[in-house]
Amino acid sequence: MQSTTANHYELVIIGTGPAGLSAAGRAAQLDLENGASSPTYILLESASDISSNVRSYQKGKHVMNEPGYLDLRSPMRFSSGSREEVLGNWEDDTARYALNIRYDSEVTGISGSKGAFDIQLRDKTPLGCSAVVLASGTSGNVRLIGVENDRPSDFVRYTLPDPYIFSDQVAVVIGAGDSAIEDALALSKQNYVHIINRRSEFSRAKAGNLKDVLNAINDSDSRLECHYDSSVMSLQLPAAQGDQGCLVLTTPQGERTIPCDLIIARLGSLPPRAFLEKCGLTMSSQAAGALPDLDRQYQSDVQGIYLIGALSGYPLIKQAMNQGQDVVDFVAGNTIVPADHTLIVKRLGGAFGDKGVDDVLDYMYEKIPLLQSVSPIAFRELIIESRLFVSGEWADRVDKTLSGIGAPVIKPENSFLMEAGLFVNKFYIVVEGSVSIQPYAGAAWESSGPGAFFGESCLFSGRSQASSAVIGANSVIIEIPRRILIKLANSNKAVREGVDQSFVLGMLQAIFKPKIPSKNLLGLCARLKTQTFEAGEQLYEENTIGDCLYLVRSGTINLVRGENRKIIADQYAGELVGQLSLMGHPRRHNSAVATTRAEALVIDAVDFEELLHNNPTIRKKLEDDLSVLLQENNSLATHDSSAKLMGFLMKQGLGEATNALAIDSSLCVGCDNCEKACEDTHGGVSRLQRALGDSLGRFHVPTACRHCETPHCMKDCPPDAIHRTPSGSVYIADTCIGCGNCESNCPYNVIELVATSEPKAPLWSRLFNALSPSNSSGRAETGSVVVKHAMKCDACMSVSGGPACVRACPTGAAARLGSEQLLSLLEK
Amino acid sequence: MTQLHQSILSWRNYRYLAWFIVSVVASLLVFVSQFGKPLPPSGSTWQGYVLGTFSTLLIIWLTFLGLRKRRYRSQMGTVQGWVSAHVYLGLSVPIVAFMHSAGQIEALNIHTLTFWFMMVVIVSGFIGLYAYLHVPERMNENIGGKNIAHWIRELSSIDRQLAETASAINADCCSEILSALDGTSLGGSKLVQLLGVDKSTLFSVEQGKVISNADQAAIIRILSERIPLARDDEKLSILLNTSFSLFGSRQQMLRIIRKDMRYKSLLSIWLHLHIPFTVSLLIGLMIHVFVIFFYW
Ligand SMILES: Cc1cc2nc3c(=O)[nH]c(=O)nc-3n(C[C@H](O)[C@H](O)[C@H](O)COP(=O)(O)OP(=O)(O)OC[C@H]3O[C@@H](n4cnc5c(N)ncnc54)[C@H](O)[C@@H]3O)c2cc1C
Ligand code: HEM
Ligand code: SF4
Ligand code: SF4
Ligand code: SF4
Repeated sequence: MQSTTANHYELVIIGTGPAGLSAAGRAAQLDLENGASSPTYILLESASDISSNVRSYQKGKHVMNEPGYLDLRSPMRFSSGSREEVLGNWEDDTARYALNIRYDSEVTGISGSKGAFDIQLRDKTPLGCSAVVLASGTSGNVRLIGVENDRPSDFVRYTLPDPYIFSDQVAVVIGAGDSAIEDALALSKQNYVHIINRRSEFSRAKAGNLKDVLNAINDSDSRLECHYDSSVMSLQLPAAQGDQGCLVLTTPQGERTIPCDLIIARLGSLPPRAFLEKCGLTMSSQAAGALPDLDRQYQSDVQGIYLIGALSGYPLIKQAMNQGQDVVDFVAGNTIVPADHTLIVKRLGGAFGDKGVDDVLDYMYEKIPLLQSVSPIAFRELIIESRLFVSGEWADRVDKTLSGIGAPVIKPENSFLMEAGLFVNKFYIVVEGSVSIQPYAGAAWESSGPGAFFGESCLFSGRSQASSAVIGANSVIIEIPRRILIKLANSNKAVREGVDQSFVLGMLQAIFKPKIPSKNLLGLCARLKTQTFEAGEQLYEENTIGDCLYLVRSGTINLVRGENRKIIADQYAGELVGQLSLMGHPRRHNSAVATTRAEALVIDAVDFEELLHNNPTIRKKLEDDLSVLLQENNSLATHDSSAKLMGFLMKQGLGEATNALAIDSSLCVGCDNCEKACEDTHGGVSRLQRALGDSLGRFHVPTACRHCETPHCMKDCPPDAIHRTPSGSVYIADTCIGCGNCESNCPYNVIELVATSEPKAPLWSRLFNALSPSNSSGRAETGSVVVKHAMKCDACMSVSGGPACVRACPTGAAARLGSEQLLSLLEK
Repeated sequence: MTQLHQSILSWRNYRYLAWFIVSVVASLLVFVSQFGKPLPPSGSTWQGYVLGTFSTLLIIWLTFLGLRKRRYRSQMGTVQGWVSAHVYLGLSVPIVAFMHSAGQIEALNIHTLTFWFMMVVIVSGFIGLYAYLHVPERMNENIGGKNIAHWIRELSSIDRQLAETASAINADCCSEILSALDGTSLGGSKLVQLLGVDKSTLFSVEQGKVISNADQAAIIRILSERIPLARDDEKLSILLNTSFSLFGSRQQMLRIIRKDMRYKSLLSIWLHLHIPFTVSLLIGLMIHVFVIFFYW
């Protein structure tokens, strides 16, 4: 190996997040053990402090050490506590190990190969190394303003952990996204705020934020001023502490100088993809969130470059730190048992006898064709995050002393894994034995062996499960959580296509029952293309000649007719659109419009004809279905205002709702009993805000969770804390770490980050509190440790009797309904 | 839509209307059975006792709505169902109680007082029922399906435009416009809101004193008088006309907001009679029963 010279190190670690720090700590320990005279590693950080990502959390935020079942293995300390405590520990440990850190060193690319890498730094200092550990996280590099003096300072900031420490100042917020708007609104409570928007509108903002910021800008009393079509020309730092600096803008009216105390730039960040590609790494797929594939030692396809932390797909701090320690041992060639080894032992629970963990993993891997191209580390993660269901002899071998989260679940032969009519959030794969599946109620049960999988239809369509499944004799089945499957499908083409084909096949079978044997559908299945439609986009136009029909995969499609676009039907996942024109009426009798973002499979007229030709019974069934649909349509088509109302309800997300609150304003007496009921049954915090939300005519859709078919909030939850009950209710578990991702992902603004309140005080003390002026709202004051959790309506899943809000309404104005009931609303 | 958004009267196909009819008819039968007996109908026949007990039980049960309403975890029906039953059975109370007393309510004593307390509760209940059934729809019509916050924002935007326009007009007129903006009063006590009293004022330069500007009438009159005088001054004329039409919209908006306040207070003000008199009724009733059993 090459020796360490001034510009060459054994190991370069990039990023001082929890992953990078932990790796550097381990490298420092090894140096000490080996008696190295100078550090053999260097830790590079683009910011001027450690852990810029954790540092950007809100001041006082309570950092959680999820997952609870995993032990920490790192030279650096970490336990749950406030952001300040966590950072304080890391700063102390950084000093204790005298970590060899170089700050203000943004890495822009890596070239070379194992043993001789060249690290490109923004400041062009040459740097070489034998191996690289990339721990630069996924939050990317913040975009700077791009003028002189734009480096982060007290005057120019790129994050705003606590807007309430500022008062009576003039602040400038640059940017037009949600974070810029939220910062500007929060600052304007105590300061005068200018918000600089490069465009003439806030097009990227969420509806709720948009409304708030426009109201504030138009409100003469608010202290928020917006400069549209304006860009930053230059900025001047304050001459001395306490002085004002200034910002110079080009505006449509000419140049304008704004003296100010504070500049907050919220220009988003550059996603790490481009950077990773410049380092020579191959992404696993084109999907936006895709990351490189890794082997079990976190090594990428470029030998010598290792990826850990958020970049390896592990979204939590403790996991990142464990990987940091392990990877340095892997690089050094030490044989170690990875920190998560015990977890896998627990997952297997002795069902596979004395076989070593790696052998069992390899064995299972072999058995599942669907996962053949999944990387070893991803497969390992899959097993850690999953559960086994075992029956028969496999169950006999399971160590019965194991219990609790993650141990194998023993199931008697023929017991249900999945039941029709319920929502499942899991995906199942058979490893041993068999499973019997009934594709739809009344159909024959079919048995499948190892490698078979099921459960995808609910995950993809967001509708409740149509099929049931029971476990066979002597079987082992893996139950995989939604998040892991989605992640795999996003990053792995074979998984995506395999699962997708099965999903499509299932839908085709359901449509064309009485069934065509699946082998006859396979050919068609392979030919089908999925088309995506944005909300408002048209699938086809009335009076044109139809040459195809559509099978809705997800979302909602409206059929509308005539000049005033009367709604005549809405079609959901698993239903056909446009079949009429292929069944003897070539002209389209209506237009089809996507009302939510929707996906549909395009079935060609020729293919369709062939299917019908070979199966006369199917033609009969489709014709019957159609006539039912047409009868329903007729009653709607007489209503003129229905299109407008439907449009409104769709915009409010009711088209993708399984359970949304709708208030009939002509019955609501404004007593707020609904809110009081919610508050009372949910720890003193109402999950619905009646007066907020939009109305059209007598329909009012308050701010409360819709329990979406495919919940947007679930998309990006690091501890996977958002779940769904079998009846479809979406809820947030206690493992929530309060990161706020779901809050920004929910398009209907129904999630709120709330400081968890103490248990409800007795009535007498609440009465006294109400009389005294101090704050008793349960929201912690700024400055103290804030334990925040995401909160939203859970459809009263733990309140017997169902939704308290509805049951408490004295006049019957409040009702909860799913998308199937929308049409009946229109009939009123 | 048969299940969603149903009115309290038609709840579950008029289930409690049926209960109402049954209880009234049954009471009537009991009551009628007193006629032709040696004693005249009164509260102290066995029929009188039955009817008295029945109406007491009804009243106690009616009072329980106040508790059920706040037991948010209760699984005993829905509040809407309770209110529906409350209204219909509440309706039967005066009938049953009247038969119980057999019309002997002329004298002024604790017994008749209790009866009148009951009547206040019932009459206020009717007002409330009327409000619950009719006000929400009108309230919604009034605000045009928008949020009331929307109208308040519109109002403040008009005020801003007016202040701007006024600053370009001559001092007299400007001060009148500004004082009209300043002197606009909204809200006040529940009663003021209910009656829609408008205490808005403005300072009239011509009269040299503060005058009423209720419904913005004064300022609109003042402007309308000034517009013809400004015929020759094109700029002033435009400004005055603008202010005039802005005040026209302002008048509309204030009417909407005032009406909304009025509706809101109508929806709750009756409870200020209904609840206290329920308490008085219960106390009166206790005394009534106590006196009957121990002193009669
Ligand atoms: C608001 C919020 C709250 C959260 N709360 C929790 C919690 O309570 N508990 C929990 O376990 N997890 C939490 N998380 C998740 C957690 O922050 C991440 O999982 C964790 O920070 C990932 O660590 P990392 O080391 O991989 O990357 P990061 O922490 O993102 O660190 C990357 C570092 O690399 C630097 N860097 C980036 N690019 C370059 C480059 N090109 N050159 C040099 N340096 C570079 C960055 O400046 C940064 O310092 C939260 C996340 C958010 C956003
Ligand atoms: C003696 C007879 C009655 C008694 C003792 C009585 C008592 C009560 C009480 C205690 C409440 C609860 C108020 C609260 O806590 O907010 C209430 C509410 C109500 N009462 Fe009565 N009531 C009587 C008769 C009536 C009648 C005859 C009507 C209508 C015709 C009526 C209509 C109502 C209505 C509409 C409510 C409001 C329900 C709500 O908002 O939840 N009541 N009554
Ligand atoms: S929180 Fe938002 S995204 Fe999630 S289910 Fe509810 S409405 Fe849908
Ligand atoms: S269903 Fe329950 S949790 Fe949801 S808004 Fe109503 S009361 Fe609150
Ligand atoms: S409980 Fe019913 S009437 Fe009261 S505010 Fe809520 S929706 Fe309106």
